[in-house]
Formats: sequence, structure tokens, C-alpha cells
Amino acid sequence: MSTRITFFPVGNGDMTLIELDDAKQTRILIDMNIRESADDEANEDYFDVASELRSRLNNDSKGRPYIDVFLQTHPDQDHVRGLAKHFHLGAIDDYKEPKEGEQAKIIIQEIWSSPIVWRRADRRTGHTLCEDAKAFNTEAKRRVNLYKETQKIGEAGDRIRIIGKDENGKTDGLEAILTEVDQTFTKINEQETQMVEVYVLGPLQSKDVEDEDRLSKNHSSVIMQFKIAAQPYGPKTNRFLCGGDAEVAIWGELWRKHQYAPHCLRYDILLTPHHCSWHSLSEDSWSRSKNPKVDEDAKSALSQAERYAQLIASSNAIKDDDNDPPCWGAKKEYEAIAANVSGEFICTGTKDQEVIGIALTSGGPQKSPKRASNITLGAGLASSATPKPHG
Amino acid sequence: MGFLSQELPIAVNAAIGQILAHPSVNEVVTTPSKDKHGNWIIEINMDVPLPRDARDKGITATGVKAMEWVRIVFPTSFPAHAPRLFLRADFNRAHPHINPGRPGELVSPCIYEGKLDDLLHEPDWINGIINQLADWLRKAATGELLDSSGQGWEPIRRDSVDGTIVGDISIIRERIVNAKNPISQYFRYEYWQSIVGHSGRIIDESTLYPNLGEAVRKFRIGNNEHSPFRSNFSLAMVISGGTKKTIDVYQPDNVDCLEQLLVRAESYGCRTGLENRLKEITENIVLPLIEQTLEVAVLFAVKRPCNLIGEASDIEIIPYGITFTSDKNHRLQLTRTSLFPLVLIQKVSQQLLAETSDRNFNEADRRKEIAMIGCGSLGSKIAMHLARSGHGPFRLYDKDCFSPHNIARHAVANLAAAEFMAPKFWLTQNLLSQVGAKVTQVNNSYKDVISLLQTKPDLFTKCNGLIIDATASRSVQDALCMTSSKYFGAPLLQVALYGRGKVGFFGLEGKDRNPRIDDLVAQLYQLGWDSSLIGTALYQATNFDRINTGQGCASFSMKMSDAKISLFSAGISERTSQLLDNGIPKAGELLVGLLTEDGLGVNWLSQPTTKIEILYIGDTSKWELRIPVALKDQMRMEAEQRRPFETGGVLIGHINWGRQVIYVTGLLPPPTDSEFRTDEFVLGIKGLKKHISVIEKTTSHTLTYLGTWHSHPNGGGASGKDRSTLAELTRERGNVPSVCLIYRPQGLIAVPGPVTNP
Repeated sequence: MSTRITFFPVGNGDMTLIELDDAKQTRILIDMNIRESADDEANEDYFDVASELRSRLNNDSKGRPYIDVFLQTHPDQDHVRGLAKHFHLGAIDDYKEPKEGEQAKIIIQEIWSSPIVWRRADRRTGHTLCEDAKAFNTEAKRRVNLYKETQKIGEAGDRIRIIGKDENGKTDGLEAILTEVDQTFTKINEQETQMVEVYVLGPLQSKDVEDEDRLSKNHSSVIMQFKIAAQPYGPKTNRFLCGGDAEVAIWGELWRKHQYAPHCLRYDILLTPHHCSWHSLSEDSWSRSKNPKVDEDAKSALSQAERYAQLIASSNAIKDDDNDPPCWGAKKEYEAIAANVSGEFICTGTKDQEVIGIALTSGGPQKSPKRASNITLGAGLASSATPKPHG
Repeated sequence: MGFLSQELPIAVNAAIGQILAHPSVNEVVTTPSKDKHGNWIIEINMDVPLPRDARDKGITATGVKAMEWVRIVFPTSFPAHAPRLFLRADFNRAHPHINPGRPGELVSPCIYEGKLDDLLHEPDWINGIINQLADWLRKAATGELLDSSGQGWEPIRRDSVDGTIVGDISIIRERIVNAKNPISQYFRYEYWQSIVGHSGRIIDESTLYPNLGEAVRKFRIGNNEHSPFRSNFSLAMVISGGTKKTIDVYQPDNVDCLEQLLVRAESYGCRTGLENRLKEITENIVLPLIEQTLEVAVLFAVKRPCNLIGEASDIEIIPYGITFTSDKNHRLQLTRTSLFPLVLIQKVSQQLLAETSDRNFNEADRRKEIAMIGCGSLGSKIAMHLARSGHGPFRLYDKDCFSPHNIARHAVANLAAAEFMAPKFWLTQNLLSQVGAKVTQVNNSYKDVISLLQTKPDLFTKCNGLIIDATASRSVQDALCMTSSKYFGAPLLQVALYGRGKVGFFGLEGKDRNPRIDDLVAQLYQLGWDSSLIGTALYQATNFDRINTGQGCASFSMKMSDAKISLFSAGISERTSQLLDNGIPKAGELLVGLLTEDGLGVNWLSQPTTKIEILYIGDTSKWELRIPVALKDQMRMEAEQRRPFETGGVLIGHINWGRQVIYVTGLLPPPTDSEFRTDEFVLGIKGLKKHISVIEKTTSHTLTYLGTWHSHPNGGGASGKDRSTLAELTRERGNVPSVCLIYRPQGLIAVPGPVTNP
């Protein structure tokens, strides 16, 4: 195995897996968008992302599939869809073995979650968050309450790391499981992997911005910079920046905050925010404004690319039209950023039957070689699409 | 028409078309051409994604370029055989997964774990190979091919060399680890020239000889006249710099003369050891002829920084062979040698067998002894299946001799043995040892187990895995049943086939021999009555057939094919293996296998087992009555339903005359004219006679009427009426034992009194 990062093609949604080549073969999943029809074998339009994910996971000592960490950047449906169906929620003792023909549920050993982000999203949507988001919230609360009761870091399956202080002192007393903004941590699922360093850039606190309302409206998300080594104790040569759906005000604020020491925004790999949305770069509407202007501060925050950086849009294929997200204008901006460093802009939707896998080596990220697909792939489908008369 | 042969064969043309369309293929360097052997060759450039830091230079620290030249050679046999791939001659050979080759030659990458020919026959066809090459190059670009954190140390690969050495690698490694310090010692070695070239084996890994004098005192060097292979006895030396020094440099496998071998030994920190041993050989060994060869094996044992891929050891064994050719004085000289690499192959071991059979092997398994009573066609097959999956040691018993008709079905295939009437246990033992299984030596394997148990009841005390009775003999079953459970070191399993291979029986005793094997057999008899499918095979097909084995001679055995026995023995062995691995259920196990109508398979039905309650009945002549607790429960339910009245019925079962044991196997409901009162139960007769006669006829009198049972819902002992009924039964039935049972909430009792009429 090697250390790698994988972006799954999930349409307009995020689903990213970091695989570490440490002794424990740590797996960190960032968001998920496992659509119902993606589970449906009969519907071949969607890539079978659930199976692709499962094939990359290991089983625990009791034969149950698990991930070390699930990071929930924010609770929109396209970032949490499929949680209840594919993952075990609740106490580990209540884990049910799969029935005949069912797939085993995946255990989340540690959750990374931000209550303030959840609160803002709940307000923004007028309390209409999806079922998976509610299920996630219940599970996160269960884990936090367990900590409050026992005052001990939980066992695998009960662990949680809270990202960012909650409002009104709600996270007071939770310091042992809390990581505040602008802090760095290296412990993943209670293990020092000696491979990862995570810098927490967001969620921003209301004191950073003029009013809380603005944060709520701007798709507040967990924003993190990962520095990843290829092997334990190796140099952390690969930088990955991801920020969920965070929008322009947040990126602008991040730039103003870090412009004199922007190393925390630098990246080799960027997951472009909000599925390549124009709103991460501009206050103006892409479709309604005649001459939409880019917010220079926000763009600067997202321009801290290393040489040969790769900018990933996790979205549908991007067309030259009024759509947003993904937005043609945003793509052009990101392509310009990439061009500056001889880098590359890639969209998961361009080849929606393939994952984007990048090896994280001691010499920096390395793309996968191009592979030819199965010769007969598509041929059978194509030739059976129309009737074939015979005389 | 000679012109045509110059044209690209269709398959090669198609393959080249695919290759050129491959997304990782950048360009064609030279168009297809034909070499003098008739191979078609094409040269291409492949794109290799480099890590970020190497992209500016266009070459990685390990010497991989962003574009790599590849020569693809299509053999004339393409597409039956895959094309061969070569990289430029100056490609860094220090990468692992490179096939052996000499400096200056094109480098042949080993891109696939399996056979390339097979990869070509996967659905991706030629793309599969190019995909694999693209992956290989990507990994080479980061040095990921040798990945000590995930996979482990890549041992020297020698898939295509012309020689093998077979030995028990784990024993050699253990010696090295225990020794810690450098060692250079000899093993006894034997080799011959097989179709692959030098084929050698270490005769005994656990005996090392510190010097040549010691070695030749114990064994002879030279040809082995007794060997059908015309093999030679020789020496293998294990040379190690010890485990205190780790050798972490990966070196390509390019040693091809003695001089280089010494240089290599030096880098492994054991040159002196090798030199001393070679000196001994040249100074002391004299061959009978001139220009005669003697081949000697050298095994370097090298400590690596991490475990080898897929193994639990960091000791790599690197084997070479040295051919000495005697000079005109019949002596050996270092200048008259040639060197060749050897492939090290693991000897058969229980662990190898277990792993190949998809079992997890535990050291404790080595102590789980299996006693095989009866090494006939069924027993020998089961023993062989178990041995092949790494079970054992075995302890064998069989009093019979192998005769010609046994060749039809026995696991042993040996005409001479059949003609010499060799003992079956002995042949089975030899057969098991041929797959590396251990057989515990006992000096009475050929004796009748029945008489053995009479004088020596503790025959199986030391057997702690499983005792398997595959004799299909009721007298052996009786002898085993009469042995106290304290003499059994392991549970007893009986396996048997009935009705010319239509039904199989798998009966495993429960804890403290309850249920015992005869109880399970009695349960099978009842099943034969309950299910006509089982009954037909059990009772109606001839139990034994006469097989004419000579003039006036016959053997009584069941006629069925070898394959049919295998259908059953395979399932039985698989289940037995599971039991040995996962633990043996305390309640025992009863499985009945039914051959499917088309003869393709066997359906095994699992029957619930039940504990047995034992009562002793009769006065002067005591009889043992064995009744399943499940039947007692049935009595309780019927008694509850009739409460406050008494109820009852007929006891059905089997009688073992020799051991005076009565097995109750079933209950018949009271006939319709029965009378139920608070103080009396009268068993009616309507239809009863017919019912009993059908049972007896259908089961060939295996099951019969045993007597009656009735309930005392409020408890209490046998009444005068009960006693007189028993007396009446006994009078009517003569010397056939009669039983009257009373079910009370407190438990079951038998009506006292004589049960037979003397």
C-alpha cells in the first residue's frame, strides 16, 4: 500500500478518502455523498461509490469494516448523504451483524465535527436539515455526552474531536476533545501516526467577522490544511487544503487574517470549495450580474498553490453556461491559479466512472498512470441501445 | 507465399493497435519488425507520472524518467504466450521486482505476481499488461516497489532460474536466530538433474555439521545407488554473518561466478566463513572419476531491516549452487567451478498445507492427535483429506490387508501392495507420510481394536484431537461403547455409509459421552422410520454385497464407486477439519447426508442431538435402558395436556442383545380406544398391531415394540396394576425384554419386576 488521497466521483458533492501507509493503515474519510441510485446495481448511470469506498477499508478484529476518522465539514445533504445507510450509528455494543444479502455497516472509530457549523447550517436552512444530517448530529451528541459522563476519551466507535468552539460557552469543559481554530493537531483516532499534521483554519468565530449572521449565510464549514508524509517519520511533503462549502466572505476573512503568514493556506492539492462555486470567489451572482467581480482577498486565500499543484473540483462536469455550482467562471479562475504553478485543474465529473487517485510520496504528490479501461466496457451497452434489424 | 510470413500476424497487429491507443503510451519509437527468431518487436515510449519534486528534472532519484522506452517482444506463439517487456539497459537494476539479468542487457521488469500469459487472457487483454507496466513504472518512480513499512522486504526473486532447492525455511531461520553469531556449517544434501536442471533437497534441517570431517563421518558423498532419480548425496552449507548486523542494501541478483560469490559474501559479512568451507572441500574431497561433477549448495542467511514480504521473519535465505569438476588428480579446485542461482522452495510442512488449504494454523494444532480406527476406503480418504489440510499427527488402526479389489476405492494406489496383501494401516501410514503428515508409532496398529480394548482400555487416552471410527462395524462400535469415557482423550466420531452410498452418517459424541455413539445410531434408525428417503437407503438396499475376489472367495462389502465415497468423505473431512479448528460442540453432532438424485452431491441434514437419560431395569438379568431427554419432554407435554387424567402410549426402539441395552427412539400415540382416567390409563389396541408390524417390516426389525409408558400426573410409584401389566407383557413376550415406564413430574421410573421370562 502507499499513502494516497482519493476523490470519488459523486456529482455535486464531496467525498474524499485519505489512506495512510502507517502500521494501522489509517483511513480518514472527509464528507460523503452516496446517492441511493449509486447503491442500486441496476442503475449503471452512477458510479458504485459505496463499493469503491468499501474496497479501500480494512476490517477490525471482529471482522467489521471501519474507518478511523469521518470528518464532517458541514451538514448539507451532498456532504453527508448515505451516512445512516452505510455506517453504524450508536454504541458499538449495538452493532448488528448484517443479515443475509446485506452489507456490513462501517464503523466510524472517531468523528471530527463542529457543533457551531451545524448550528449555523440549521439556522440557514430554517431547520430543514436532511435525515442523514440529523442522524449525524444525534451520533455526535451521543459521543460528546459519553465524554461528559465519563470524562474519558472514548473507545474506538465512541470517540469525537470537536472542531472549533461552540457559541455561549457550550464547549466549556470539553477542552480534552476540543481543537480550536488556529490550532494544530497530529493525533488521529488516538494514534500518533507520525504522518499527519492538521491545521484548523475554520470554522471562523463570530469575533473574526462583523456578524454571526454573515457566517451562517456563507456556508460555514470546517476548513483544514493537512500536511501528510508518505511514511511514518518521513517529511510531510504533501499539503492538502479542504474547506467544504465555505464561501467568499469566509475565504476573504481567512486571507485578511493570514496574509502575512500564508503558509497555513498553502497546498499541493486543493479541493475547490463548494463544488467549484462562483460564490467562493465573488459576492456577485454569476448568472444575474452582468460583470461579476472576483473578490481579490478570497482569491488570494485560494491561490497559495505549490508548484505543480492540483486543484480538484468535486462536481458535475463544468459547462460554459449560467450554472453555479459548478461554475464556468470559477473554473477559469482556478485554471489560472493552476497555470501559474504549472499545475492542473481536474474535475471529478469529467470522468464520472473513475476516481481521482493521487499518491502522496516523499517527493510530493504523484498522479496515477493513465490506464486503459476494459475493452468491452460500454460496447455492450452501446450495441444494445438500439434495435438491430436483420433481413 | 513466403512473402506472407513477413506480414504482421493478425493477433499481433490487433495487440499493437491496442497498445498504441493506450493512454499511457506516448509514441512509437520503432515500428514493428521481425527478429531472426520470428518474434515481432515494437518499441514505444511510455509516460510515467513523476512525483512533484522530480518533475523539474524529469528524472527521479531512483533513475526513472518521465518518459521510459519499452521494447515489447511478441513471441511467435502469441497470443498463446504473452509478449515480453524490456526496459533500457541502463535502467537502475537496484529496483526490486526485476527479473535476473546481466549488466548491459535490457532490463526485464517483473510487473505481475502471477503469470503474464494468464494476465493476457483476462478481459482487459493486452491493456491489462500495459496497465500493469504503467503501475510498475509509477511505483519505480517513487521507490515504492520496495516498501518496507507496508509490505516488507522484497526477497530475491528467482522465478525463471534453472535450479531448485527444497528445505524447511523456518527451521533454518530458527537456527540462525538462535545462533546470533556468524555461522558456516553443513547440512546433508541430495540432488539430481531434473527437467528444470539442478533439483536438490536438504535431507535434515535440524542436523548441522560444524565441519567437513564431522559431516563425512556421518554420511557419504557421492551417487545414491538406491534412488530411482539417480541422485547424488552432497553438501549444503549455510553461511551467515549472524543476526547482530542488519544488511539493508538491496542488491541485484547478478552473481555468476565464484569470485563474485565471495564478494557478495563479504557484503553479507560472512566471507571468511565461506572461504573456510570451500577450502575444506577442495582439500578433502576426492571424486572417483576425473571430469566428474559435484554440486554443492550455498545458503546465505541474511538479516534484513524488516520482515520479508508476507512472512514473519526478517531473515532472507539466498541460495546458490556451485558445480565442482574434478581435475586429473580427481581433486576439486576453486578454479574449476561454475555458479548458478537456485530457487528456494518450502518443504511440505503442516503450516504450508494448512495455509494452502485456507486454514489458520496454530502451533497447538501440532498436538491434536487424530485416531483413525479403520483405514478402509472411507477412513483412508478422510485421513488423507485431513493430512493434506495440515491436520495430524495420526494414530492408525486396521486389522485388514490390502487386496486387489481395494484398488477400486482405497486412497492407496499400489498394485504390488495389493498383490502382496500388505496391511492397510501400514499402507495408509506410508500414504500419509507422503504428504508430510506425522503418524504416531504404535506397536499394535494391525491388531483387532475389539480385542485390544479388552486388554488395554486406555488405548485412546493420549489421543487428544478426535477419535474417528470408520470401520462400519457394529462390533467395533460395541467395544468402543463399553470403554469408559475416562479412557478417551478426545470425543468419538463415527462415520459410515449406508445403502450403496445413498446415505452418509456423521455422529459425534457429546460431552462425557452423552449422547454416546450408539445413541446417535439409534436416533438414525428412528430417522429411517420417520423419513422414507433415509429409510429406503438404510433398510431396504442390501447392506452388504458379495464381491467375488477370486475362485471361491468373496469379500462382503458395499458396492459403490470410488467417486461416490469421495462425495461423502469430502464433506465429512471438511466438517471434521472445522471441528478440530473451531472446537467441538458439547452437545455432539448428528449429520445425515443424502446423495442427490443426480448423484452430483450430498445434502447433509443436521439433526438436533439430545442428552440421554439412563435407567436400569429388570431384577436378576439387568438391562440398561437409554431414553433421549427429548422423548421425556414429549411425555411431559402429553401428560400436561391430559391432566388431571393419566395418559400414555407405546415405546418404540432398538434392542442390543449382546450388551443388554435398550434404546427408546420414539413414542406411539395411544390407540383411539384407549381410556384416560384420573387413576388409570388403559392402552387400547385399535390399529396398534398393524402399526407395529409396518414399523418392524419397514425397518427390517431394527425398531420394535419395547413396552408402554403412562403418566402419574400427581406422582407416586408403580401401582399393583402397573406391576401386573408388566408381568403380563413379560409373559407374552418371552425372552424379549419388556419395559413399562411411568412419567411423573418428579422424573421417570420403570415399573420394577422381571423384564424377561427366563
